[in-house]
Amino acid sequence: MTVAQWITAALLVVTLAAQALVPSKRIVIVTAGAAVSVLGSTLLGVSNAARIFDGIPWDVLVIVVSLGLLSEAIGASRLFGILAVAATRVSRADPLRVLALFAVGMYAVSGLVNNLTALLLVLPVLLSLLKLQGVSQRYVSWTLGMMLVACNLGGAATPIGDFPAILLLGRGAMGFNEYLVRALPQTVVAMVVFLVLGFVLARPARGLARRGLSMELARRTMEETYRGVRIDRTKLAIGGGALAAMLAGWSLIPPSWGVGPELVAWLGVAAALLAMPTLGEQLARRRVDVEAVLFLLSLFVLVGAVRESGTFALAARELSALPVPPKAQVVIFFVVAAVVTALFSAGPGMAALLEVAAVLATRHPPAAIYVGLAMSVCAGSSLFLTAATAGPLAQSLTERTELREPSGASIRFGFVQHLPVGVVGFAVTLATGITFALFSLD
Amino acid sequence: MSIELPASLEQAFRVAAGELGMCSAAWLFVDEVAKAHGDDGLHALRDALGRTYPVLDAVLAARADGHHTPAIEVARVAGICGKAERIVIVGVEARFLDALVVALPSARFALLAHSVFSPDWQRVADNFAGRVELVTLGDFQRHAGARSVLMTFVYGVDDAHTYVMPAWVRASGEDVRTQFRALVGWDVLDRRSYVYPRWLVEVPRASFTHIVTRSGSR
Repeated sequence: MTVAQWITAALLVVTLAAQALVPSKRIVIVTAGAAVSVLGSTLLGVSNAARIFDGIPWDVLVIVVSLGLLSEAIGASRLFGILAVAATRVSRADPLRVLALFAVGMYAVSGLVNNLTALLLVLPVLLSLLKLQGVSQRYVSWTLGMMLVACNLGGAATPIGDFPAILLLGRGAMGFNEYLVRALPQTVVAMVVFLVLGFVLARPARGLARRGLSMELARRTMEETYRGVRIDRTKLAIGGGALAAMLAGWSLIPPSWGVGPELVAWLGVAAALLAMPTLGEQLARRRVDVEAVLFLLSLFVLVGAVRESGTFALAARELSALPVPPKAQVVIFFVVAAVVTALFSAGPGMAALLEVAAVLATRHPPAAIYVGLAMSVCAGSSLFLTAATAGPLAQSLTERTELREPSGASIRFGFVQHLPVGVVGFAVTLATGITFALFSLD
Repeated sequence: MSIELPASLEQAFRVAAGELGMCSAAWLFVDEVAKAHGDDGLHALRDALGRTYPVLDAVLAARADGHHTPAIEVARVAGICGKAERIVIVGVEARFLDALVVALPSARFALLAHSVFSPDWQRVADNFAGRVELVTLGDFQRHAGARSVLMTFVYGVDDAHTYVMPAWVRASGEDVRTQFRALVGWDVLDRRSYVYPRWLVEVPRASFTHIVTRSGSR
């Protein structure tokens, strides 16, 4: 490796490590790291700001912002709260049924809308329900952990569910339908296996007194708190209609038209916001996820500087030169991708590793490599609470709720409590992704 | 027969009281415990939570006296507030507020989002189909005026005093009182509590222009 390669790679690793160690300052850290990285590339003669900016996938940022705004518009219809209460009613507030319904519900919702928005709207309802039920530490750890893993799997199920898949779609690595057909079955299998393992081996409700009075009081109270809350049909029709139109556009518009997925997303969201101009203006002004945009933009700059130095091409060559069969090289790549994601989170993991995957995709079926990478990133996102943005959000919302066991002991949901669930989710998701990929390589 | 109620009942009652109000939550809990365990369950509930939650204790006393539903004297309250264009509500009592909003279809309601509990205020307001606007201690006075009423729920009245949620004391200071046409207290218990009025503040009955009770208004 040259000095320039060492320095740009070191800047990337140090920045990612720093933001992982101090997540509360991660935006400032990655923004500063990106600026230093551009300066380093320029002074070392590897690249310059203009060339690095040319390599930024702006279309991905357009999709991220558009889907975030659309999720906010659909959330304003009160749909998620109503669904959460319906789940409480259907489950009769029985702890095991609640867990299954909310996990499956979050999987389904996360495939279609931003999982942070969905979690922000559903989790407070679930936490109120947990407080009403009177639950144990074990049950809360598994319920919230399984919801987070379900969010990650749902996000990986469709090309618009989460950043890694959006990156594949935005960069043109895969088409909408091509990704959906391959990823959806994998995530369904992983979700089923994960739920079965969770329920059978971990037994989340073990030691929980499933008393009729508690369950009935929880159900009645939830119904009373939503007694007059109705879905705003206009907002739902506009938001849902725009999403349906976007899905149709992504699925049906042929590439020869030159209308890319980012333009479909942009047009769809613009139409939705224009159709409800007052709320639309409020959302556009106040609810754009600036944090996500700044974070991703800075990551793209950091990764761009490393790419310009030729480090990713070198890494791909090294991987190809490993004295193992080609399939083993792919498996090693997926495992490394999962671990890197667990340590540095999904955005950095996917942005950096996609460069290596692109080289592997020239020697193997591209779809198998890209979807396998998305599954690996999904697995890594589930391992640690800090690996995905949804984790710290769940942690802070749970702390604010001040849950207690019937004995009065405080219930926590942090890194340690999530870890057992994360290990199961990580293993199941990674194993599923690798298995499907190996079959596809045959 | 001794009934053992779930240990988590207190935590559950606090959640319900925050979102529905002490009295409305108490009636809900009393109904459900009676359905599950009958009078023995109600005795157990009073033993377990009565001292901590005096409003629940009073509702259990009402139930023991043969009352099976809360007395919602909405017609009297509507009569007092009838000509008001704006009604600023301090405190939540879901069952009573539901009835009042229906009884006064042309009035605009504002709800002070301030509580010792931490309810989801937006969800509380969403139950009223856009008829109730949330306000804070900093901005509720923009609803003041000659056609405005400031109202709260009171928990038991005697000759000289009544009991209110602490938010009322913060909202009804001397600087505010003259800005509203009337200061109305709606007694949702219709009886004094036997136990120390935890969570509540004692205020002079005369500090209200109207107190509405089951037996009438003053």
